[in-house]
Amino acid sequence: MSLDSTAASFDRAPRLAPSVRPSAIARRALWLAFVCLWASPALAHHSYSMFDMTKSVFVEGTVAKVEWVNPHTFVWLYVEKADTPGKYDLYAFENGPINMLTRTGWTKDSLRVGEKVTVQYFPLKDGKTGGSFVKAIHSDGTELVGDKFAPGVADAAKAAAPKAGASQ
Amino acid sequence: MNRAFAVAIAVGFVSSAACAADKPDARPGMTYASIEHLPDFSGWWYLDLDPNGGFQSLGVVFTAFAPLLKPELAKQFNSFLAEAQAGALVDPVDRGVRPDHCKPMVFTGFNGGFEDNVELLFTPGRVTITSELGLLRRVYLYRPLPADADASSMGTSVGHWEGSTLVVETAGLDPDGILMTDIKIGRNAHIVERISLKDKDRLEIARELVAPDVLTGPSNMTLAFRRDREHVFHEASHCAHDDRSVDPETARERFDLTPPADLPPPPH
Repeated sequence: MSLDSTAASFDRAPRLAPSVRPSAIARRALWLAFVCLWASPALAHHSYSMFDMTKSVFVEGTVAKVEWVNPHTFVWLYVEKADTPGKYDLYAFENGPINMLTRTGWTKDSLRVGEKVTVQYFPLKDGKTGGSFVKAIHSDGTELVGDKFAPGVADAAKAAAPKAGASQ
Repeated sequence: MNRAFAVAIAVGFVSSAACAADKPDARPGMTYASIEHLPDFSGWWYLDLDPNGGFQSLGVVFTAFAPLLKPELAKQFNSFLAEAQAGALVDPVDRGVRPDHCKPMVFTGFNGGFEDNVELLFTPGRVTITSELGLLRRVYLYRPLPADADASSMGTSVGHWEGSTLVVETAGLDPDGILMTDIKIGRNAHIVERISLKDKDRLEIARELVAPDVLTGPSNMTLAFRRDREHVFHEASHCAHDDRSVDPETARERFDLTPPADLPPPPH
């Protein structure tokens, strides 16, 4: 989705940093996590099959909104198109449920609207602008990891953000 | 004389009956006074998992059941494992499971504490176990478990105290309740939970499950919980109409990218 100040359209020109692929150990942990996730309906309620959990990517943008709702909080991010300054793609990131996040220190104000951040995420398989939230990196370098109990998040979050300007 | 004697006997009988009725039940948990002497289960409880990758430790849930599955169900489950290992997880709908995200929770032995927090509330003669996802179990103390309890979402639970351990026995569980993956708990399931404090803020629930339709023998599992006294109730929900990840009509997974109505404009 591409947006400018006055109009919306639905093309896509993501500006993404290099992807990070998990190690063999992390992949096994990820597989185990999926199995556990399915172990009981009370543990989680969808399979994450819509995300490419084999890699995580980074994108820079401006926080547009945090939807602080169950069963998933969502982080919305405006990402300026690399080739069209002043135009934006709108990204959406699924994050953990409120209780899971608050246990690890999140509040609904942990990400402020208008704040510039880098977001790491597992991308959607269909190529649309969004994915499963891993972490946000504030402009001062501090990191805010999402739902650490969600599949793959804790391992993927160990990856450092690529340097600014890196391309896919 | 005989009449006076009869009256005296009658008065004495009534008086002693009244005294007996007034005498408080001495069994633990049957009066507010005795509740004060029970272990302190107050506050909110959540699963005690390592916050840095501890999701895998939930594997205890899976390993508790898998080795005991009956052969035809083990085959079904191994097929799921193979898919998962190959990275080919599919939408639950395509596995013949339609997630009923907005239906009342069905208890099959797991009290919660993952996406929600759990409470154990004591009132005379009863313990109530509830969670922010809608679990609501009523445990009646010192009553026999009905032999023919009607099936219900939470089952029928009775309990008693063995020292500092609360023992809860449950039957009458909904046979369609999901035990794991797409396997239902089946008929005549029976659960015994032993709930105790292991230290000041750590609770353990050791659970034995008998599910004759699906398991070849009793399944045992112990889950540990951490206390959060300061937590304030926050309703948790799996309702699809609040979920951008699930289509409420089809129950299929999706990713709804419709922007929120109150989204601010992009930066200038």
